[in-house]
Amino acid sequence: MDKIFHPIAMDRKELSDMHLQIRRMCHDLNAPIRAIHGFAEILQRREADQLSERGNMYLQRMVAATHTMEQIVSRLHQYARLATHPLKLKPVSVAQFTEEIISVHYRHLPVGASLQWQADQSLVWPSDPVLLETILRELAENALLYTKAEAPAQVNIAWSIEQGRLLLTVRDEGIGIDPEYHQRVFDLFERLHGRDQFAGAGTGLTMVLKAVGLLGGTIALASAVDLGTTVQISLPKPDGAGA
Amino acid sequence: MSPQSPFSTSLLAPGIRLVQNLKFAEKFLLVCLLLLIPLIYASYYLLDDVHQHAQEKQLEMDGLQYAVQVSALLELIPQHRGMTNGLLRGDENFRARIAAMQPALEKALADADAADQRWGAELQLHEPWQQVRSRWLRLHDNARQLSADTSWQQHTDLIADYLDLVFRITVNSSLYTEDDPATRHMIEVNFHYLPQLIEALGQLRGSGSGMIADGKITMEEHHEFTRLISAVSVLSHEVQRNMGFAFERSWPLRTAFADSANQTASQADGYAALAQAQVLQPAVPAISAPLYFDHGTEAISSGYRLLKMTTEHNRENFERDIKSLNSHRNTLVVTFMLGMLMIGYLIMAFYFSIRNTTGILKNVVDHLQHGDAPQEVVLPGRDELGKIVQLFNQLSGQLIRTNTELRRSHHEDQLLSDLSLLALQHDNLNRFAQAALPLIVAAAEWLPCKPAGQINLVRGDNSRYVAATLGMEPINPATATHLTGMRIERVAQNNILRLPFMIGGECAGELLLAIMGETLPPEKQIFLSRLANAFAIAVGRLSAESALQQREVDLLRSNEELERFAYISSHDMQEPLRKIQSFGDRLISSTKLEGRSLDFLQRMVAAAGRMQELIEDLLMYSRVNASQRPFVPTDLNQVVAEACNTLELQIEETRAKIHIDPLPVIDADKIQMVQLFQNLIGNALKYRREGVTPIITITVDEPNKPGTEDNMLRLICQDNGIGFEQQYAEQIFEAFKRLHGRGEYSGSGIGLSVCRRIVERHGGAIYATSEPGVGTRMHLSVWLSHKNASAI
Repeated sequence: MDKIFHPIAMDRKELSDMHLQIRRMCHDLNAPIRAIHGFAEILQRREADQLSERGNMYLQRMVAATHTMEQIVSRLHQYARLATHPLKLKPVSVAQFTEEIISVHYRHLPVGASLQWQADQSLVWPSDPVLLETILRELAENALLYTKAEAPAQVNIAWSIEQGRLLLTVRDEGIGIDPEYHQRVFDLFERLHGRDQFAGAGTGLTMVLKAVGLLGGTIALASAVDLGTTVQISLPKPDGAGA
Repeated sequence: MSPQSPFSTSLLAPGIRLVQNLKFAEKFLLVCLLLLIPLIYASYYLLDDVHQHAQEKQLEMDGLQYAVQVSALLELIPQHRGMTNGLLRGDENFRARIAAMQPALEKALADADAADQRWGAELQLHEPWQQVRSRWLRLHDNARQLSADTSWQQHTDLIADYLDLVFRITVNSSLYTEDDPATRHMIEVNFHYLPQLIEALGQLRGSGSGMIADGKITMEEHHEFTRLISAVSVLSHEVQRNMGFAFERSWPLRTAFADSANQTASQADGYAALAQAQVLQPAVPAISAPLYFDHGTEAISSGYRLLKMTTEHNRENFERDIKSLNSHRNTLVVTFMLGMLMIGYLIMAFYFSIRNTTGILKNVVDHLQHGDAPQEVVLPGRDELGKIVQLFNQLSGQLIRTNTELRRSHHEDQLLSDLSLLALQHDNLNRFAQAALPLIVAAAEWLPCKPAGQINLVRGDNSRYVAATLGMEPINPATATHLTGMRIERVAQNNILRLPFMIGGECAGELLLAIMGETLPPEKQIFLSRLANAFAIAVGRLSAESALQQREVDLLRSNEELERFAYISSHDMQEPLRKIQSFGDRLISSTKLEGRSLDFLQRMVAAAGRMQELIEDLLMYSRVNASQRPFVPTDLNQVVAEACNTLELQIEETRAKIHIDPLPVIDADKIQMVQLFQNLIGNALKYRREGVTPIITITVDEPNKPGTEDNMLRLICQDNGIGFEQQYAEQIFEAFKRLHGRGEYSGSGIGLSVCRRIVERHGGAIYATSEPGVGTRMHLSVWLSHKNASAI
């Protein structure tokens, strides 16, 4: 019992427990959110005629709000899970991997938007597919999200190998980021845009940063206002793999 | 260790005590002196004996010479007697012959005087000689005035005196007590029988020739003459017998002396027979008186010849004896002196040998006491001391070896512990290696290595560079695993020892040392492998530790990021939540929904309320670190009062009794402290037992004793609530984990989880002990002072 009173009481178990605590909280939060969502949908279905136009509008907005909350909780949950993710390396055929993700998640793009990707079919890289997927999806989503109001998104994804490192380049023709703010893009507390303007609240790059950090890679950003953004991820060949 | 009987030990004890108290040199000196005293005494005695013997011989020699010097008179006085007798009886021929012998007489007298001058006093013969001399002179002057008979009588008396003198010479000069029987017989012949024989022959000649000359003979004269004739026979026989004894053992000499003695004896006997025939039977006189006299003289001179021979022989004997005795004495003296010198030399040699040995031993011991090797090598002798020295050499050798061994192992342990210490002081492998190298190089004195070395680490930044400067292959991590044993490589005139150190069966790096020689002694190899092990442990611990630290830092950062993420998220959720709540409220108030739809709507609002609680909890939980306020001095009494204030309603409702010890002022985040106590007291109130008045006490646990100051404040918050099984003591601190059903107690259950986070942020810990139906004790600790805490 005495050891609990030791000045340095925060042991590692306790620290990693925090992720579990947060995940548990997210789980608990999901229950009332789903309840509200479910009841709202039932009401919308059953009572649409009974309710006034304003009442329906209220319900819609409630559903939208729960949707937002669901997203936030889900992202928090994702982040907590990512932070405690145990690294599991296996050979990933990059082309196949990219094709699968894009065909599953980005089959239906907004009108006019395009998502191009290129990768050497023979390129196989040892990595963690979960982290790799997070990086790819968050970047793709970001690129699709921050588009100019008048122009649909044009996203290019490219995989390559340079100096023994795996490079992922995601380029868009979106709104771009003022070089002044490049340093602050990855800061959680910094919001470059109003919450209403873009959904998702910009936690995506935080997730990317986390995943890249776990893989020991670096991230580079090239962007200017209205000229689009290019993000380049450089991943080292993991230690011990492929030897 | 020879066994000794108690008897001999007890008997020897005083002697042993005495001897033990003496130094060795003194012991030896004592023994030498004890031996020397009888030796000196015996030598003195022997010398004295020889000396006395020599003196005796000298005395005998002196006597002999004296006798020789005066012996001329023995011949001359009887001649004088005879001639004077003839002259006085009327024969004028003798007057001229008396005158002719005068110079010889005077010379003999002078010789005798000289002998007396020389030895007379010593032999105490001065007096008798002077008497003989004065009587002779008187007789010589008066001889012709006397009657023939008187002259004859006086001459004969004088000769008797003279013979008495000779006898006294032999007595006074110890000639008669001569040890050697042969010499003694010679001396008897020389000084006793021969003079008497000669005198008897002389009387026979003198009186006989007188009787022939006057042709008459009295009866008295007849008897006297007959007695003389028989005396001559007896004496001649004695001479012959004694000479036989004298030369019994000396054949070569005997022949010459025997011939002479026989001749003398036969001539004496012949003359006796002639005297008897011519004098005692006057009827047949055949020869004249002078002829008869000459015959006598012949016999007498034969006696004199023998006398001279024996005298000479004796003198030679004595001279030889004296010479040999003297040389004997000299030899003795020289031998004795040489012996003394030898003994003295040996004593000195013994003394110095012991003194040198003990001196050297002392020197060696002094050196050993100071812990260094002795400069002198003690060469052991063959004696007991040599044995001791040998043992001592063994012992000191052993000691030196042990000492060296000790010093070496001390150095080794020192180096190894220094390395461990260095490993503790550094958190970077390369810096540790850089710091360790000079330490190992400094050990070059007792390691067989030159002050040149390098440490390569497999993951070290400079391993490539280092190996390149030495002209060796750098360590490739892929091949390093095969590098297991130490080996010596030759690089640019240097023998480089490559000493790899292993961690978990893999080579973690290697130590490069320039060494002397081509090989390493086994004990150095053992040490070097120990060194490599110590290095491996240090490096391994360092890398493990830094990895651990890195993990912890990563985790901390990760937690921090997560907290911020959660904080932002909960903030973000506030807005949609408000929307849901307000739209729900508006729907309820503005529409006329009823039945199930209204129920749904109400449940939606309830869910929103529940969600609000959850989001607040999440916000609270993530805010503990995410929204940090600085630590300020905080009065805990005030904090607890504030907490109780907030909980006033519940306290009143439950009629709870709260006892609080006086609490100190600590460095803390005041709002979090209020939150902490509010949660603790609120929890205690919430989980009260039905029908029992809640009693909550907050006490300071085991106030810090002096000397055990550790900057911690320990508190116990005890209640008499429902309690729980001890096995759940950890679960209660987990967010959203509740031991009880949701309906029974309100609240999200995040309270204790937040308490733990607050306490941890304040450097402490919290845990619970509980018993169902009795109550719960919350033990918590927080820093007293924040400044001190950061110093720890």
